[in-house]
Amino acid sequence: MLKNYLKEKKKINFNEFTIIFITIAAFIFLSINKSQTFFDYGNIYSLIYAVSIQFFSIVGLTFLLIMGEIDLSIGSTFGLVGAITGYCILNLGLPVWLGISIAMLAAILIGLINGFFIVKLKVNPIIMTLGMMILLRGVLIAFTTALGGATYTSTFRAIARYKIFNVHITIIIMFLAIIIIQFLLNKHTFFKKLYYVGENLNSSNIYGIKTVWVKIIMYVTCSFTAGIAGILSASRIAVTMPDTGEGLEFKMITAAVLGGASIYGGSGSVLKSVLGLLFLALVLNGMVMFNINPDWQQTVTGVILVIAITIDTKLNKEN
Amino acid sequence: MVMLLDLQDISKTFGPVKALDSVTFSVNKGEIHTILGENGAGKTTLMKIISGNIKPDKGEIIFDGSKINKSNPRIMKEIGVAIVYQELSIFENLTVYENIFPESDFKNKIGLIDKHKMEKEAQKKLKLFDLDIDPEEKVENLPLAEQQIIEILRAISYDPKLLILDEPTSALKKKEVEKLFNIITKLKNSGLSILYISHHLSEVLQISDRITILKDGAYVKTLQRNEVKAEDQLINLMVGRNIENLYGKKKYSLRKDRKIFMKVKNLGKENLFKNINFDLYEREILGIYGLQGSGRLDLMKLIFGLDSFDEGYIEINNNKFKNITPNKAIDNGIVYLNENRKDGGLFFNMTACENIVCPVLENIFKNKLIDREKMNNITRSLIEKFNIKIPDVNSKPKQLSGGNKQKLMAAICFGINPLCLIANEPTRGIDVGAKADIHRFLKDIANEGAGIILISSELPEIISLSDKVLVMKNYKIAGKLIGEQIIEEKIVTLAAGSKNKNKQLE
Repeated sequence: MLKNYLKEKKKINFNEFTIIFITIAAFIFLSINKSQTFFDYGNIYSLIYAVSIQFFSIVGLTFLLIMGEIDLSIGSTFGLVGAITGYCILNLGLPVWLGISIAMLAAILIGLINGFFIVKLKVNPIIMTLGMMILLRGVLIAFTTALGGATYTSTFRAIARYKIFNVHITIIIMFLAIIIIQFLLNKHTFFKKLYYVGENLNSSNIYGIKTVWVKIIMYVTCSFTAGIAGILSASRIAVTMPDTGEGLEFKMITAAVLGGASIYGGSGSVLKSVLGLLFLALVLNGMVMFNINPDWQQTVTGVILVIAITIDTKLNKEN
Repeated sequence: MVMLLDLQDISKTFGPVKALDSVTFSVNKGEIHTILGENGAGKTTLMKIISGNIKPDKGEIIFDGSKINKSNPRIMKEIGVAIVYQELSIFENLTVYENIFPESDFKNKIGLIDKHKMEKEAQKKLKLFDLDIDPEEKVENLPLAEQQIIEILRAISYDPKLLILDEPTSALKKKEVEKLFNIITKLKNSGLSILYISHHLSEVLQISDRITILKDGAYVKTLQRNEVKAEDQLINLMVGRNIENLYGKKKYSLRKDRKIFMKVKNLGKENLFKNINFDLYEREILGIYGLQGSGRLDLMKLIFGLDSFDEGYIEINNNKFKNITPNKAIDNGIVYLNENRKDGGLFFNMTACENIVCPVLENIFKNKLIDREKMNNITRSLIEKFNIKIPDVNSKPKQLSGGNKQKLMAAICFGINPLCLIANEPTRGIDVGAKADIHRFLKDIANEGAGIILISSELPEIISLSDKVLVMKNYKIAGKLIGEQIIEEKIVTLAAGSKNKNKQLE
């Protein structure tokens, strides 16, 4: 009895904490082998800072994955929101706060359109958001042409550079956000519904969960959080290029699935998604340390995605 | 009597589950031998072993005097075993004769199929059983019973020695069952052995020569038909105990002080329903019976809001609803106990307590934060109340047996303190003990004041539990029966649509 219990427990623990182990393992591996270049405050800090800029875009995506939904348009949304903000400030001469507000409204609109087509008109989420990804990329290119590669104003650039006690505010916000969101995911009745919906849509309906609304709200949330990340990134990089945010969606899906979110729905956690993101950052950083040609980064991310999804399928689809 | 099939010590395990444990029994030539047992007794596994679909772990099969060393469906068919499964496997858009001889060699000189000859042969077969069916008719145009008969004719077209019939009457009306039994008897008289699987006791007693009872994968007993004096005798052997009141007829008592809980008025949906009217009182069990395709399920979906209606309204506790959603229904105390446990009933990979609190999250956690302690306590008390065998509150439903899954679903529904429970096939595919528990639960909550709509395809269940019965046919309410009127003949007559209509009462 006890033996069985321990066995069961062990199995669960392994699945639940795999991402923590492999992240720590990657960290230790790099610290030992590249103690000079990797195990350096500056390097590790800038790695975490980079994660904190993109962090928000994985929040909404994780919510969607928990429900068994997906959004491939977050990379384009990420780029477009930055470009709209820049356009409002530079080309229209609007104040920074107004530019950000307009861009975020655009993000909300994108989420509403995604949600409406997927939930109300029952369009396949992958195809719908793939279409949205291409469509928004087109709009983004138009905006970047209008911007002509101009550098954003210093007031806008200051946002991602703002520091408290010599720590970037984005890092502080990330840690606070993880704690709050993870608490809500574990405890709050509304966020609990994401797991019910992802585990079984028909059962959720029968027990009175307003699945249509929960889904639409989460599509909007996903675009919204991708937009926040887009604004922080635009503020940090100071310019939006036609390819800004390209491939972000797959990087984020890879990270979330590494963190235990299932593309089949029913599981996922923001904390672990971020750990997945950190792991990916460590791998890419490590490749630089070992002087591997950066051209291979995309290939490696792809390989990790395929491995992660295969494991996810073995673990979650077959039972 | 000459033995045709002899099984010795047949055992089969699937993982940790012992499906068959040293089963020994035999079938004689020219007899109808019934295998009786509850779900999970091992009937299906036994059939699959005889038909060659599953290999036994242990034991011997002797067929027609020779030992079977190697078996697969092809071999078994060649030596003379034919099987007709519960689910029909006919080709609906082919004709009767094409269905009767699906792999025949009616070839003419140049190797093409000789349809004319096939048709003639089919006609002969049909005549043999006094069947008035046109061999050129497409099978989809035939009533279900005749489709079933075509399926049997196909099975015997290979001249088998043993015919296995797996629950052949489950979709048939009473008259059709008679027709089928006539054919089975004729087949028997022609020297064929028949292995008959069923859990309809009355049918079993009507047709069998011998009855073998299985329980939990083990052989219990073989009885001659004339040894069986009453159905209870068989029930006792199947379950090893008396199930109180399972099929006992309850006394009807109309309480005078009852109120109407729900009024369904002129409900309609384009191309489906028109003018559906009925009332559900507090403290009553309203049975809804109808054959497959009668619309009973679609009607319940409209009432619970899983589908929308476009005419009429539903009045719940004096509030009119022109449209309704499951969410609104639950807010008004109506809950739906679905027939499908896997999809639309439980969350298989979530814990028992997460399952239990799903419909009541916002009601029990007023400040929107989940209190684990409270959740566990609620779950524990419900597990106890419903007698659910589960390791602990964090176990997942996928680990439970069918009966315990069903009880867990009942517990979820009960957790919202329902004023009305729509129970859709609440005992489908569960063992007799769990069935009795569910029946007790339905009676209990009706006594406590709830109105229950019971949809079931099992007549004994409808008859023994309902205060009132609505019989549906062709998406209409064909009739309403109350109290003493609730007897098998009347329900079946209404459902099968005979012309002298019962008067609507109340």
